[in-house]
Amino acid sequence: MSTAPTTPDADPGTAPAVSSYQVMGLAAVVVMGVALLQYGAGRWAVIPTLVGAAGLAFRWRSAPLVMLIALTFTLLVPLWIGGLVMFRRPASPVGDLVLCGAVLAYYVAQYRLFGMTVGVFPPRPRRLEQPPPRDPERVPGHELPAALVTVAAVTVAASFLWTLTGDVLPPWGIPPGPWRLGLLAWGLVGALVLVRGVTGHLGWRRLTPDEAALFVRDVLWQETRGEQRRINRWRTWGRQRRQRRE
Amino acid sequence: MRYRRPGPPQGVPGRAAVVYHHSMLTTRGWWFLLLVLTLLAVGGIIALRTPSAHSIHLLLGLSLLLWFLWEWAAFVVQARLAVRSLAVGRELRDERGPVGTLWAGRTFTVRLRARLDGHLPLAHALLTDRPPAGAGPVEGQLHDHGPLAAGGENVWEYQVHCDAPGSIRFEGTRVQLADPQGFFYFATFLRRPAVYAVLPKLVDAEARQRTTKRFNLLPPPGIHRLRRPGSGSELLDLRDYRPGDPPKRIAWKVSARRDKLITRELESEVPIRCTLFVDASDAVRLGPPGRNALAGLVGVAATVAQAAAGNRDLVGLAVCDEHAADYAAPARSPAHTTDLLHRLARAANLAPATEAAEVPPLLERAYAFATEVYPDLLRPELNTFPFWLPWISPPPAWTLRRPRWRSRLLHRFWARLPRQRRHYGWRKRLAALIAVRERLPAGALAQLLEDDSACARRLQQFLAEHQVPYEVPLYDRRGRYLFARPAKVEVLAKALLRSVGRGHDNELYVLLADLLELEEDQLAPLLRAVRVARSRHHQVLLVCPWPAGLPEPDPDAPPELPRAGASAEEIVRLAERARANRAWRAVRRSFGRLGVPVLSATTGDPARLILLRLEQLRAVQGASRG
Repeated sequence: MSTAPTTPDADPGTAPAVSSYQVMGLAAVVVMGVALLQYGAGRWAVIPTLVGAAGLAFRWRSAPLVMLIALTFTLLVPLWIGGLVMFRRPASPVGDLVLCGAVLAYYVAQYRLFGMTVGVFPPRPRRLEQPPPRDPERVPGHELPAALVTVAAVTVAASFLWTLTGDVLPPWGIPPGPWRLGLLAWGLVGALVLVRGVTGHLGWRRLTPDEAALFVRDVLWQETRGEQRRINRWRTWGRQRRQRRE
Repeated sequence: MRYRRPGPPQGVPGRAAVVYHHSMLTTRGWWFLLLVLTLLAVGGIIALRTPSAHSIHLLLGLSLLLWFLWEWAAFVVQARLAVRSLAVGRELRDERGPVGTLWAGRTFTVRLRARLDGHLPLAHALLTDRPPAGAGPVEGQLHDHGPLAAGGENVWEYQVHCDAPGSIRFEGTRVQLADPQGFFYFATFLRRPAVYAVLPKLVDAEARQRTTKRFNLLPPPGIHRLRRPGSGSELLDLRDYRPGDPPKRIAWKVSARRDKLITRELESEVPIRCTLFVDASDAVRLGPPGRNALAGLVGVAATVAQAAAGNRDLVGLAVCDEHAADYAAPARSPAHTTDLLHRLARAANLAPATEAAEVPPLLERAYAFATEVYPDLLRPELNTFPFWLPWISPPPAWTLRRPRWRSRLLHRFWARLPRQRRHYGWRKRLAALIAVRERLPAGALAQLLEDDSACARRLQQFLAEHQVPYEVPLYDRRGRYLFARPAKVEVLAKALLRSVGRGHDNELYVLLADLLELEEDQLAPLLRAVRVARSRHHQVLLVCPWPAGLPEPDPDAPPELPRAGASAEEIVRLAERARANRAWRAVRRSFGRLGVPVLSATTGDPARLILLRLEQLRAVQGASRG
């Protein structure tokens, strides 16, 4: 059953869901900072940490994008400092997982906070009433735990996928780097095409009678477009000439 | 999901008639995807340069991309599967509970109930009801938003105010879905059209009775309107027996008490038959719904019908347009009165139409409406239009209805302009939509695409059915008025003759018609029918709508000349007034010769005058019977 009419004047920042996502985001930012330090970013680790914290505190709408740029830059710092030698270090799977999980958790929290404060629907093209943001009071209680589980699962899946591509040996003398990347790209594209194909097929199977009738008419029109056009133009011309004479 | 046709016009929850899936990435989603792909590209470059390197960029990008794809998959499942189990029911209520019929001048509550069946929830849905044109909302919110659990219900309500009699049409509910992050967006429209009749006000039946009110609307038992002796069934008085009184009227008990013969006098029952002929042709439909001439005529007819029925008179109705008449024989039961009000409400909502209307303005309005309510039938996958078609074969100049020399010369170039190409595409899509909705023959699509007259007619029907207001031209290029509609005179005359042929006694016929735009020779069939009615001793009244914005008709006023230096606007206004007064004089003269009074529908109180005429007729009949 629906809740009572929402109160748009209520401060969304005081809602439990907002507080929960803020805590989750801040915790993720802290963990990310620690992981960056562990990674060897040094003092540069402060930049993405501060950007992330500011985005959460002030609902800075560009924060996720700036954060990603800052993170990319921070992770490239070792390259500038130590050259490619830094990248040839042995990987620390746990450290990578923690870093990826923390970044992902931050993004989940930040975008969901935006959904509750700025809105989730695109703004309307005309200057009409804008769609309301998510009501924090109506956010289900299981959403946050589910988000945390998703973060953990996705991080592990990404790591597993990357490891899996390394285990497939390249045939025909293809270099291992391009082979691994190509395998990853083809796998993702194939999965996308598969999902798209299945949903598209289901959509065609579930056409309503009106949609099916429209499709059949459209096919008929396409097949006989030229002939029908000529016939109807002459008919129109004849009718108008008759009307003018009358 | 199986297709269900739209149900009865009640607020019973039902499945969506049609579901349209239109999902897309929002700007936020595009930006995020772009950044993630950039991160992956950076990681890929590093991985290519150092195959044995440990690229955290790639792993990070892959994590974010997998999360994005996971959210997309979850959203697609909601949009393609879960939303098909969504049903929105509508219920209209007043302070006493659900209603099926509305009344003009009152406010009603629209209660909506969204129910999600199945096993899949919706993370975030914004449900916005599409209110009927010109009826609100006056209070409350049109929308409800939030998550919708499987098997759950959301209820919200708002209020609408019905200004004028007619009908209001609810099209359905717009459904917008989004994921909690705002990356994906999906819009659909759950069509569930419902039309509710808005009956004319009831209070006016009493308020517009004669000012010297003598009786209640419905006389209680024992109270009678015409206190004259007659042959009714109710006791009026007791008097001494007179020789010749029928023995059955002797009051034996009273006679025994008084020891002389006493006779009962009974009430006179003089029901008058009154038939209202309402002109519902295109001539009176012009103007905004509820404020045009037809609304005025319907208001007068509804008041007279209710007041006469309240006086236990028999009221009939004939709603005439230029093609046919919808006739209801006189009767006086409450059900009959309600039926008359429903017929009047249906008539009040008719919209004008002319084949002379230009296609582009109608096209723009119809396409804007269709994209909102029929997005499923405008999908490019189903309703295709090759972009190159207007370049290869645009509509030629020789199929235009009124080609000018400029059109003939420049049409080849003009038809390839972006606006014309866009309109050609819209026209094809709307033609296909209308052909499917109206179940037109297979070749209708191509005909609507090439024939302007047919397309204009169908587009006006489409807009009128959905109560979308549109503009029509009043004059053709030669300055001739397009909405005189002389054909309605023949229909009115036939309806009047039919009533006269079935008439029982002296009846009152009220013609509520706009005849000011017609010449005297065009009125001849109606004048002949009125002459027949008058020869049978029936009474006839003519009520004409008067053009809005003009002072009351004054046939005796001398023509007013414009003052020196008058503006063009003032001269046109004076000319319009002089023309209306001239037409009024002509109509009065034509009908006055036959003893038919002519009243203005918009000035004075025609309903009261009609009721007064009914009273006079009753008195005459009562006297003749007594």
